Amino acid sequence: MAKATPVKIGEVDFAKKGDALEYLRVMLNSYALEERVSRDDENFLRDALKNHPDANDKFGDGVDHFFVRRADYGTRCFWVRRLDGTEERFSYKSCV
Amino acid sequence: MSLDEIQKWLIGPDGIKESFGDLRLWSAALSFGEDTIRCENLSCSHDWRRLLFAASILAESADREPQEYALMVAEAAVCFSGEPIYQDAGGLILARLSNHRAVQLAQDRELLRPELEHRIGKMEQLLLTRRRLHSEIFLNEKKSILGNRFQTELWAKLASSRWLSATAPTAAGKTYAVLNWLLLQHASGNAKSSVFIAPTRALVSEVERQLNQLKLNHGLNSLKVTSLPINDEGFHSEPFIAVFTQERLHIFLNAGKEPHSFDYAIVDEAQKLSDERRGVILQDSIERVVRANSTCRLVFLSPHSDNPEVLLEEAPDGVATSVVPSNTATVMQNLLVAEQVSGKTKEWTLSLATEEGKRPLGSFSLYDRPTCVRKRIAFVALALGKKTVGTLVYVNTADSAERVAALIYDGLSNDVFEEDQELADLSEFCEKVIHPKFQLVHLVKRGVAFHYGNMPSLLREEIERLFTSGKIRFLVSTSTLIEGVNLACRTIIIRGPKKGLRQDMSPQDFWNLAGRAGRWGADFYGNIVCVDVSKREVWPRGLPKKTAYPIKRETDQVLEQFNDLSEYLSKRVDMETASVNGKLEHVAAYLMSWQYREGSLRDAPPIKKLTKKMAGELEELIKPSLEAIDVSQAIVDANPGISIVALQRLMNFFRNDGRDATLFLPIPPEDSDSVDRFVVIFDIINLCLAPVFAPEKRVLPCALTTWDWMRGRTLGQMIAARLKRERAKPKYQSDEELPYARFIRETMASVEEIARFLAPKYLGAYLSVLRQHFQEKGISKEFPDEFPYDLFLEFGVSTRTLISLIGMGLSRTSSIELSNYIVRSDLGEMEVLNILVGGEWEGLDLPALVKREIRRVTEQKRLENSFDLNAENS
Repeated sequence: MAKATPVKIGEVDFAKKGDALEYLRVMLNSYALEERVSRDDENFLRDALKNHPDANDKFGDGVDHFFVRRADYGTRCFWVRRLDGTEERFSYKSCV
Repeated sequence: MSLDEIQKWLIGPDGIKESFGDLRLWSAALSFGEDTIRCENLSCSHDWRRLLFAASILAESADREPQEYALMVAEAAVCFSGEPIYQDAGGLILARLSNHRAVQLAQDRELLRPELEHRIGKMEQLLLTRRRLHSEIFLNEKKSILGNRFQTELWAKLASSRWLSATAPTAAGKTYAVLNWLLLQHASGNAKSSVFIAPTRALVSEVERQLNQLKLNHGLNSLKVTSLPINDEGFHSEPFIAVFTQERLHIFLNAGKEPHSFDYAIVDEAQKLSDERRGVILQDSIERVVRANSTCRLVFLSPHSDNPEVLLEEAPDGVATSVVPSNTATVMQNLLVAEQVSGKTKEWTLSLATEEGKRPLGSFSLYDRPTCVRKRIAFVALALGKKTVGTLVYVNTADSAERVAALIYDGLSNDVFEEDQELADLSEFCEKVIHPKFQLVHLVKRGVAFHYGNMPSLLREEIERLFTSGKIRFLVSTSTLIEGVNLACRTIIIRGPKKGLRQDMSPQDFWNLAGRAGRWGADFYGNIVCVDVSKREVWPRGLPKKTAYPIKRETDQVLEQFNDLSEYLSKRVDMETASVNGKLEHVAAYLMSWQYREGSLRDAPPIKKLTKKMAGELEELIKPSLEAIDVSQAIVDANPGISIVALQRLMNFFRNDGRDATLFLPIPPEDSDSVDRFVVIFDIINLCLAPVFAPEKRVLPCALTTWDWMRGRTLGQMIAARLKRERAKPKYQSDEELPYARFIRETMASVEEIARFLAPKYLGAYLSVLRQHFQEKGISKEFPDEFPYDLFLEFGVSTRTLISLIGMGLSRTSSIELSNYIVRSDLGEMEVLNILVGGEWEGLDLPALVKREIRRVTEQKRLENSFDLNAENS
């Protein structure tokens, strides 16, 4: 069996990738739709988003805040609202 | 012996109670029609002279019980004695009871020969004339009506008091008297604007229709009677009577720049102040009316209440008040028990329930074995209703209503039915406007129908009309009847009644329902038949004792749970929207907005009943919630039932969100992005205001229903779309497996509950807060004030033309059917009236019921003469 790979997001260490994904999934579901992400979680998400393959596009000219909104087919997703007012969603699974 | 003592003696154990009892049993058995009840064991020889003499003495009493005996003897003599002399005597006693409608009915049915007054002695003629004069109610110089004792007293007290509370069962004629009185106030110039508040849309349209008919008697042909809560500038120049639900009254009051000052307010079904959610909204609407005009005259109407005086507690100091209780029985009511003979499932007995216990009446047979519960009630209805019209069957759920109606329909398969045009039209309407598989399409052809809330009003009203006229003989109904539809019947069949699936029915609700038996002026008898009463699992508490409604405002009930409310208020500011408690929230919202407006709770009516210390405690608890509030007072007032904390949370959400504010606005329904925007808006409402569209997966269906409704989809189209979606699911292999009845019912329910109730209420609040946000940002011009979304949702339309058609008195269904042929979307009432008067719609492919409604409305407008048709057309 392959050995679990530890993951570090910001200051937080996870024993394996699955733990980090679970952490983000729980965070996503702890918010209501259209609710703004709290300051603490926001810091974590900024670090996580850096791992996204399209990180530069997602950050754009700067992030104002994160929030939770619907995505396709009734799912929910983290969204980023940039300083220029534009918004875009991103998959937390691509951040780990 | 004084008269009072003789009356007491007559109905006491030493009097002739036994003879009365025998007559009552015999007449109750015959009231089902010939050959319905086998009652060979009952005595059929009665000492009519003695009974009628006793009845004439009892008729003089002011108390209910002696009057009931007099009524029983009089009606039995008229209906069943078969001797003209006794029938005349019965007619005289009815006149003595001021029951002139029963006399008229007896003459119409040829049970009494006309010109009774010419066949009696001089003294009796004089007495008869005196009584007629006493009960004559003058509507104007030309027209008068003969009122019963309750109506006469009500009329007299209406003249002398500014706040009045009247309580009487359905058959007492209270609404009729009050509507005439209200019109008289308009005719004499005392009133410029009045409001009639009724709890359901069904009652609103019924009262609106009644007012439109009655106003012609008062020469008020051009008086505007409206149920549309439009409050624009031109509205106030002419006198009007508005007929609103409490929600529509709020919409109306919100729309005006200044609080509108009504001169008269009538609150029908005032016991609804006890309702959990809408009770607070009703109370708030009454207080708004009184705040705007402290000299407004108020009349509260309630059915058989225990404490009608409680409604007058909040009358301003020095205002003359009075209570009018009803002691008048207008129709003879029999409470009966139907039980199966042990071991013989087709053989049943019927007994009369009296204070002394059950007295056997006779027996009857079912036409087949009742192999399930629904068959028991259906077959009893068939057996007892075979010779009469007006049989109403009460069931607990809409599903049962449809199934029991189908069983009754099946049981009539051997009867011969002549084709009736009105029933055929109703069937056609159901097929075209709802769905070809809607069960009423075939049921009504045999004079059977069902009736529940959430049906389109045009359909429900037509069913009620045809039931009242006797063409629909059997009607199966749910608790909508208790919730305020003025529908009476001759016989009501009940088995273990509940409200819905679980909620037990209170004895008051039972008696309110039972009160529907017996239509004053249409029947002499009203029979309440309770099935399987000896089965404990069906009637756990036996037959409900006759009790009056205790009226208790919802605010008072919640304030009694002082500790719960205090704890709730202390946590409210930081509470997540999802944790909001439905029961406490409405009262908390009411108190918070009061304190916000007045600065103190001191003068809030429910608080006056608390000690100063308790009132102070509540104020302290509310204070922290109000510290950070800056939503405007107008918004708080306009949204009763939604807490100020929630409104502020929404305000903060708008402010803290970085997006372009126009992205919060709804999109007109003709745009394909409209539904997605509703999804976002409903998510925000769930987050900030109240979890009314929760859980998450419900938001999309709610948004779709709202969108479809607002863009004017017909119910038929919405049902067809729902069926199409369901058919695509793998669990339904074929069309036959689709539960059509359930999906049709559910679509009707979601329209009523989501699109017509929750969406307008919460979208209205959302938009009012958003409007303030636009003002703060200096972009008010971008706010779409030309789209009154709450009004569009309330009426399920999105154009001015459709609102105008509805404003004329057409139902939504007819308006939409008709608007498919009208090109322009911005027509006012005069313009659409012109189109209707033109008559070209007669040639269109519209359901006959729709055409009949258009004819009725144009005829009404013609009578109103508010519009010179010839001049406009020339």
